[in-house]
Amino acid sequence: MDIKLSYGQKELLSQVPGADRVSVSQLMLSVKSGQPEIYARWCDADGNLRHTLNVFINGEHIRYRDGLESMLEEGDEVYIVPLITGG
Amino acid sequence: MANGYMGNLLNVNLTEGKIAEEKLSDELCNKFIGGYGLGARILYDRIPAGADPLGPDNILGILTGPLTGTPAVIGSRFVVVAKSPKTAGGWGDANCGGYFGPHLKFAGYDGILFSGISSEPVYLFINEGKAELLDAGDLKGMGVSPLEDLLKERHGSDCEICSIGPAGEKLALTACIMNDKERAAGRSGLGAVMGSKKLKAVVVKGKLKVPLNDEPGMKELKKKILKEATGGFPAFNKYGTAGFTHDAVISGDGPVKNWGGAGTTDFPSERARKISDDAVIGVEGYKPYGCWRCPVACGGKMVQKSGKFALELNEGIGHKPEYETLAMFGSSLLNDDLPSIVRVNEICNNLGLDTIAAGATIGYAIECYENGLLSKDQTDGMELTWGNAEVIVALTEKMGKREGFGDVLADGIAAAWEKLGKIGTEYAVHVQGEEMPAHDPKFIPGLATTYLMAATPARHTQGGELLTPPGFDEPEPDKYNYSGQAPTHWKLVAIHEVVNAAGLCMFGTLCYPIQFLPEQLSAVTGRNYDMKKVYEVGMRIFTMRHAFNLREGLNPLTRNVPGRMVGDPPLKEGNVKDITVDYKLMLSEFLIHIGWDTATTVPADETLQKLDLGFLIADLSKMNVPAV
Repeated sequence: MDIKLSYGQKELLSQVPGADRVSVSQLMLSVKSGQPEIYARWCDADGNLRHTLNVFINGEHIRYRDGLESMLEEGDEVYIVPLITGG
Repeated sequence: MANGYMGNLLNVNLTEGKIAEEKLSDELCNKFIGGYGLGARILYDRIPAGADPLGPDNILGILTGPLTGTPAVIGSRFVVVAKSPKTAGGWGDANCGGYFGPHLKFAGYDGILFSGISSEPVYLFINEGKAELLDAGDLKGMGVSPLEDLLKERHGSDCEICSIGPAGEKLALTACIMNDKERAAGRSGLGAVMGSKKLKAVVVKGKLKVPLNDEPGMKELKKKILKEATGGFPAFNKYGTAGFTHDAVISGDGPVKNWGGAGTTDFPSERARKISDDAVIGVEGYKPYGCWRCPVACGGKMVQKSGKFALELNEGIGHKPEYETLAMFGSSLLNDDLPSIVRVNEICNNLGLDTIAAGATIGYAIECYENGLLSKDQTDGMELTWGNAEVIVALTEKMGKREGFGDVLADGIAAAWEKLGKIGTEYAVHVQGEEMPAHDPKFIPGLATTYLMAATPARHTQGGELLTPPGFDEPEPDKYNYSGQAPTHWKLVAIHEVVNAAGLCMFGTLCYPIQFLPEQLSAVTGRNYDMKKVYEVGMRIFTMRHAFNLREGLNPLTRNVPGRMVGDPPLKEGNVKDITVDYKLMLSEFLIHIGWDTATTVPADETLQKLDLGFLIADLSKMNVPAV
């Protein structure tokens, strides 16, 4: 399944192998095994999304869909934006 | 005297031309650390209530913290403090990086307090413990960049300079105080205070060392901190703040169309990318720039020698615009022309204008023009339309020089709104005279509390949910559940009061676990700090700055609340559509939590005793603070 996942300026994934349908939380979990340090910046030990993060699907905040359970479609782009500020 | 301090303040009476040293109080440093904490405590005693911010009774302080000029990560900052002419005569401060702060300490002083008004333009020269006021008649009207070149030629390349440009000399309330040519102490209108004193510059020179309690320990600690660098470090290091422009615009955090638009529809991704991350650092001759001994080096220098927005100073080499500048002059004005923003940045820095205030005020003017409230007759014939890069550049220059329509805008949105007959109130996005910076409370609701309750209104650097450092392990409530935010919010505020007072850069503390903050303070000063003490001292500083405002009869609950800031009415597009921030609930819970009265904001006697601010009880009981 072609799905792009970016974290800040970094593209982490462009494909999710062997999946027909995937939710945002499943997509994020797929990063956990390969890059646990990045996953730890997203979610606490209980799997709750940290409030310093915002997640968007094709530019739309997941708040306006089904949150972390929003289902993704072929070609979707997911951005995870860390909440940091600038001068 | 604890370590980390030089132990000396310099008092400069500009009316009499007299300079006197004053020993720094160890007790005050223990209670208020330094920077604006120390400044608020001292100026509370020395500026009479009701003083004219542009008059002789105001005091302009330039202060460092105990970590300024030390191996602490990142100890490059100084603050400027005074009664603000911009925010209804309330407390004013502005924080700045660059090289000046550390070198003020190397010249022998933790701070300088300027009182009175000089009869003629002067500048202060400090050469390692020897200070003198020198004639600045020949410097009058000079831009910051050529001024620094001239003063370095005169006093040696090893001196550092902070100064004002023509905007400050002409008392523009959007004027800032600059150092290292393009680092700004931007907010609160303090460039105008410096201008009112006829003080053009401060030049410092010296090689003294800041005493450290545990020098080997501090160096080891620094290595450990850099090894554990996390959080925003990679992004800050590669892009600086310019790395966030696209994401801020699309997410709903950044301003679009003077806060009336949405990134997703009015300034979509392909336009936002033109003034963000790779586009910014991809320009000709880009090189990273760091403030004094900064491992992050979030700044940058870029070359722009040709084109209609060619830079005019320093052989066409300028500083990279920061996120705030890119957003306020870019997305907020629907302007995706990066070279125009680079040129605006040069103009603002050289003339000494705060880019947030200047960009916001131009946004207000454009929206008035676009809606038929202003005509070409009033704007010197300029077409103030969205995204009109040439006009944006020209108008910025006019503001800095107070020429034509630029003179109308030079004092910021609130003053322009008054001068223009109170037109376009909906478009005038400011809090008590301070323009809202490029972070939206509809995206980060905790910022509403910060903007409305901190002593300096509408300031994103005053702590809160925007500035959550790594290692901050307090509960994280859902940001749109407006109840229950206070127990987390006050701690985030207190942390940044201490960061700012200590002389640290907040970009450092966003790159390592926050527990290193008290560790560094302990290693440098020899006093025992832990997070409990950070929270305690932070709230003391927060309360002290607030007390300055209370004495002026200013209750933050009476501040104007721009509808666009809180989503009243809410946006209909974008990632903060349909959001209306329940700021009243958040403010009320915050006031209860920190022990301030929910109608007057006067801290309870018990609160003041707990913060060791008992001396304020008698003062505050006499004050006539309006209740809401």
